[in-house]
Amino acid sequence: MVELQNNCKMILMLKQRLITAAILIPLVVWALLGLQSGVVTLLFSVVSVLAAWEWLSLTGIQNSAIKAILVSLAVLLVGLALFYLPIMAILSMSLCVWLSATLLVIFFANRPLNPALIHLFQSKVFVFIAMTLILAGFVASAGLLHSHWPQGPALVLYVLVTVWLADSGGYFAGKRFGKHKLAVAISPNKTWEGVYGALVLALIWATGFHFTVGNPLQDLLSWLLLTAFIVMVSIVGDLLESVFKRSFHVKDSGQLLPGHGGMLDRIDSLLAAIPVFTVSLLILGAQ
Amino acid sequence: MLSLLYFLIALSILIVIHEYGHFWVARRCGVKVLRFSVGFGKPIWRKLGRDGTEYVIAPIPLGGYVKMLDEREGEVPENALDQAFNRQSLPKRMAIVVAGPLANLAFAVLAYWFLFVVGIPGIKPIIAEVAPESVVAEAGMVGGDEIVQVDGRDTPTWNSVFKALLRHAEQGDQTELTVASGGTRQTYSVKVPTLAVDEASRLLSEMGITPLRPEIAPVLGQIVPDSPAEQAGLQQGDRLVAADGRQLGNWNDWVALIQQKAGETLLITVERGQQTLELSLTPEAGDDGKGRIGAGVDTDFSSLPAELQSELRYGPLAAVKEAVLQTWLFTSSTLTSLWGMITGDVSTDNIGGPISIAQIAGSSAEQGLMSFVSFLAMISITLGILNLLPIPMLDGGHLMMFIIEAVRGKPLPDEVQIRGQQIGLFLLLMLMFLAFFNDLSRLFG
Repeated sequence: MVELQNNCKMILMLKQRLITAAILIPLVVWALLGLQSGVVTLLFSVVSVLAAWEWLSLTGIQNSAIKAILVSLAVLLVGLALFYLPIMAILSMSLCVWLSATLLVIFFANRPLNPALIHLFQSKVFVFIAMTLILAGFVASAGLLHSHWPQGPALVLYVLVTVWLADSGGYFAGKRFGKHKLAVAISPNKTWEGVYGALVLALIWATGFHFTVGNPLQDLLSWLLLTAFIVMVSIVGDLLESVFKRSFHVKDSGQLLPGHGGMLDRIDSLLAAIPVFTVSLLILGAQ
Repeated sequence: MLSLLYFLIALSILIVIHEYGHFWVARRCGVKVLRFSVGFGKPIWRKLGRDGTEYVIAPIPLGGYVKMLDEREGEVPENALDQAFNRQSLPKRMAIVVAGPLANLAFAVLAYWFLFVVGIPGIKPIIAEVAPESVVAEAGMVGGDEIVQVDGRDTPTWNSVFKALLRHAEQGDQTELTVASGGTRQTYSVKVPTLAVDEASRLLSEMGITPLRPEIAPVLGQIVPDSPAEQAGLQQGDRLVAADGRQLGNWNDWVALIQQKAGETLLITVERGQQTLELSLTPEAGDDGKGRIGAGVDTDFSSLPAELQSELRYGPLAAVKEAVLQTWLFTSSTLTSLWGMITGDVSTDNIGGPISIAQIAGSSAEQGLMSFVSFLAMISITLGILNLLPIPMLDGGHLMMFIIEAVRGKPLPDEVQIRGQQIGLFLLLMLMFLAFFNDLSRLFG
């Protein structure tokens, strides 16, 4: 009986999920391909503001006025950074954050965080700083990716789709074949089988993109390696959000998108994937 | 992409050596090692040793780790308590922690030993010209002199002369240069100018020395696909002889000519093996407007004339001493630079991050085994030193805690340790930021 109820709930959630996706995806495609880089950057900023709101909520701040002030402060800081710092400084900050996050999730995948880190992740000041840095890197690199290359809009769409396919591939492969835990101490539901599923789906998409739209690195092998790398990085993004949530004993970060949890849950992987993808393209000399 | 591969290979080798240092000493101290993993992540191969250690190979190629029995990281059964890391005496814990960085230094000694025994090819240190009124001119040295010894030690190549002189550049003190010219040897006392670490590349010109450079033979190395050179039918190994009937014997003359002739067609004469060919070549304009053809020169040392070829080589025993000395010199110059960055005397622009290191890894690997080994030695030393910095979370940070524990008679309170680790983390992040920022600015600044 309970199982049946759970099944119904799951199907309902899946249905909601699909409806939300059916409305949002065409909108996103149109916005990315049709709007100017400045406007797209602004849209990414709006998404970031929503994510920041949820991020602060999960630290246990309930007072909306305080949250509004903190989000405004973050917006101000990100704005100042975008205007006054060289873009390379923001990207470097972002790389630092994601390299540390990668080391963190690798090192503490199967063992409890050490006391100094637990202490850090439970500090609201730290969460605020980390959040501001991550969102600054996200908005700056999305803007750069969209405007720096002639096929920039398509590239932004490419990372989004890659990450979403990886999420779905991971979800279904994990459900069907999941056996070996990926990072028990951070997110007990993730499995290595899910990672392989994510990689398979993303690489099929990468190959398709290469032969239809064309890839900025020209050769297929580099493109596949880069895509696989981005999938791994997106998983790091996902896991980092879990570390934040676990520190405050929260599961879902919000209910903004029906069936999808919150905005933060939707974009956590992208927060890592977009900056790393952009910097990788720069370093690899994408045309 | 290939650079990245070499970088990962280098990093993995060095981290495994580092971890092996911890592992080896831990075992000697009677600590139980639960796992020695090469690579991170889910094991793809594992073997249980007779000692109870699990040896693992895992897919994420970022080095590896050693996991010791430790009460702070998990339950330890009563009967194994004396084998847990945290139960060891202070000297033993210190030894285990220091062993990682020391293994990196030991590897550097081994690598340098290998290089010295095999012999490092180089260019014979013959002075082409002496700048008037420079320190060497005033000492009485002239063009054509060959520097055979610095401070009484043989210096068969420019590289070894440079390194020997660099030791004096920090203080700006006197050095003894022994010079051979026309069969006689003479020793001069010369004052080396004071230079900061980041100005080292100017050392020879500051002293007034212009090295004798070999004439570079115009023999083609790599040809870029679809470049004007390939379209003209040029091949690797071709020797350029003449352009529009004018003989040009030196690569530099060719570069000068091609840069002027963007878009114009040249009739060139080329020797390929026994044949002589006439080809027409049209240089294309580069971003700077200068002409280029997309072919490099063959930098193989075989094209260096025999009278300029030289080699730095020692016997197996002498090489041990030289390798230790070399490791020490690089260590101390790294420490001096680091200290200089803290005091502000050396610019932090000198911090190179992973991107620069990957590029160097790639280019040194392409130059052959010798330069890759020398690169490994340098990075190994850097890794060892970085890990010994008294920053909490690194080996040096642990060491510092143990020393404080030894002085106080008991460990620092937990809150202080936690604060310390957070500060350490912050410092590491700043360092990482500088490294990335320098790298990206260098590439796209």
